[in-house]
Amino acid sequence: MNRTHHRSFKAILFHPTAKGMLLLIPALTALIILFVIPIYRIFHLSLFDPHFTLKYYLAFFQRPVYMRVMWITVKISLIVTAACLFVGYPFALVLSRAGEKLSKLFIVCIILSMCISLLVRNFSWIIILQRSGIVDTFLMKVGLTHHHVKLLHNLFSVVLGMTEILLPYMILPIFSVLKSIDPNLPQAAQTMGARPWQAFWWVTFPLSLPGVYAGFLLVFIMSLGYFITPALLGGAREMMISNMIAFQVQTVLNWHFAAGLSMILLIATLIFYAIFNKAVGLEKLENLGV
Amino acid sequence: MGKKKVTRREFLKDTAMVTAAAAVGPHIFVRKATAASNKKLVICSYGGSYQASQRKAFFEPFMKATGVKIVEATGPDLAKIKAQVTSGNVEWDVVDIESRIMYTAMTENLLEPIDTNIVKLDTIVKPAIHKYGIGNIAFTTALTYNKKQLKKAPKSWADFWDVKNFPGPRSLQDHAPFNLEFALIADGVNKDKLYPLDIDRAFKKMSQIKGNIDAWWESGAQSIQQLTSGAVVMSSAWNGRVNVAQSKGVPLEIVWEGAAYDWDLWAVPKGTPRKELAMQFIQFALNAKRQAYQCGKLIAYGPSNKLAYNYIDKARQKQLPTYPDNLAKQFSFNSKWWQPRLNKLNEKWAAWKIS
Repeated sequence: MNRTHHRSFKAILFHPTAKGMLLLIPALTALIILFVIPIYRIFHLSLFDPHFTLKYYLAFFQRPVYMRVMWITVKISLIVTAACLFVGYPFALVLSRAGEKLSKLFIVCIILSMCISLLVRNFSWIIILQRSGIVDTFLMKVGLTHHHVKLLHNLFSVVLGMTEILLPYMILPIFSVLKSIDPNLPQAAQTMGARPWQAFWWVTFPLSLPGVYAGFLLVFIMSLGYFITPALLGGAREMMISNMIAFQVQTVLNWHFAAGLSMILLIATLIFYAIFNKAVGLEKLENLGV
Repeated sequence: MGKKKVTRREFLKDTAMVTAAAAVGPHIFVRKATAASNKKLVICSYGGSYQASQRKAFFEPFMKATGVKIVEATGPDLAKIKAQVTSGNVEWDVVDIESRIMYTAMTENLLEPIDTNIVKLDTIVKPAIHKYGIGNIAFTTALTYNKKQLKKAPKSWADFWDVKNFPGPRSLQDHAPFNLEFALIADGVNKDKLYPLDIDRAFKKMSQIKGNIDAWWESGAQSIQQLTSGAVVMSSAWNGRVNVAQSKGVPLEIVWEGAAYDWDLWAVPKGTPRKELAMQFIQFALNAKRQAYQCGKLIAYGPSNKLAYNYIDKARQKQLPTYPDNLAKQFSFNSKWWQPRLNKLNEKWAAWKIS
């Protein structure tokens, strides 16, 4: 009895049939109620007021400020993603080669850091970076500078703040891919005469690319929707499109235009996704083994 | 040893109790909720030291006097009011909102008119009276500076723009309202002839100071934090918060000259099932003695009831936005002028900021 039951479960899992599809129903229901319907409603809101109109989309293209803010949003997101990659990859590499206990400890630390409120982390950066703050005072005391250094409310502080928050989303996928690489492979390369860096560059790195792609995509897409960090740590020029959406929702109550802006952000994100897919082939992510 | 052994009987008893509580719980909750639905009032205000003062001066005395349970909420977000009213599921019975928000809510038809049969207005100052909201306190947005950071004391917005005589980074709130008025005053426009605002002139003046604005603040707490830490030498700030910081020993000073005063109002979201009780609460909170306690003892805002001054001592009066000497130096912020222009001017503000 038990055995047949077990087998049929296995059969469903590995040979998707009509019956197997049943397993998808709970997930699909949740997805439709919590994701598809709300997005459809936002889409509808952006096009009907109360009759069909394109004016909210036209407004985006007619008034140059929205295009410019969109460009700033993409630019900041790209810089943050690159920064996460440069910091995250070496970190994940060291972590994947560290002992079991140490790497577990670090993973727990990384995940715990995600539990701290975003606002608390942003305000901490303000205290650290502000004029007469910890860093500024230190630099002046040491004598590296005699004037106050402007570390806060510029592109630097925004990138720093966002990188610190988004770093786990880069480290974790890279780490999990690196961990799944057969350690014999780079070793084999070295027995064949490759130097350690050559073994890394020609063997380990190419094999870890799926993790890099996943991390890149996660961080970039999450960055596009950011607005609290740029608002708190940024200066005049670090304005992101979500700021404008929030203003339409909360202050002027123009939900149609807010919906239009949101759809444009969503479409832009999908376009980036498509370009990315074309360039690297996201089917590679299936090997991720997460 | 020492550990209490849980017997099977005890275990069963506990489990049974938990299960029973879980089963009965919802019913008790439902019954209580329906029975007390007329005896409950949900009030949403701005939180922090401000809401704390309202709790002491109005909420607690009202609960004592009437037996009504007041449930507090924080952050009277316009979007949430709209969502509640349009979905027909109004949670907030009374909201404390700024006049700009009242005007937007009014144009969107989100508020109940104030029932003047219940809310008596004969001792309330004229500018606080509106069809859809009654002024509760007046607050001031003023040039504020840290005495330790500046050698000379700035006297007006012109000094805020004068980076030669008053060097150091500055901060302003991150939106167009108030700032455009301040720029025009700094440029020499008479504070009584501000409206309609000369937009181009205001932005031109704003451009002169843009490079010296280190931070654009988002929340009231941020402005005080920056001034206190010396991250900026002067900033616009709300007088009540400055007053609280001063009382903690922070060397901040308010410049009343050219400051803007505006009203926080009590309003009632459209369609609340407890409308009458909401009006009764507003009437209760407009009482002179209660306002005097709030503004005289708890937070330095200006009461809307003229008679409240009879119960506030002279020294304290001088710190309030509505004290005649202070009032004469300020201008009244014109929400009515701003409301229809808010979207367009915000776009202009954003474009100006990133240019």
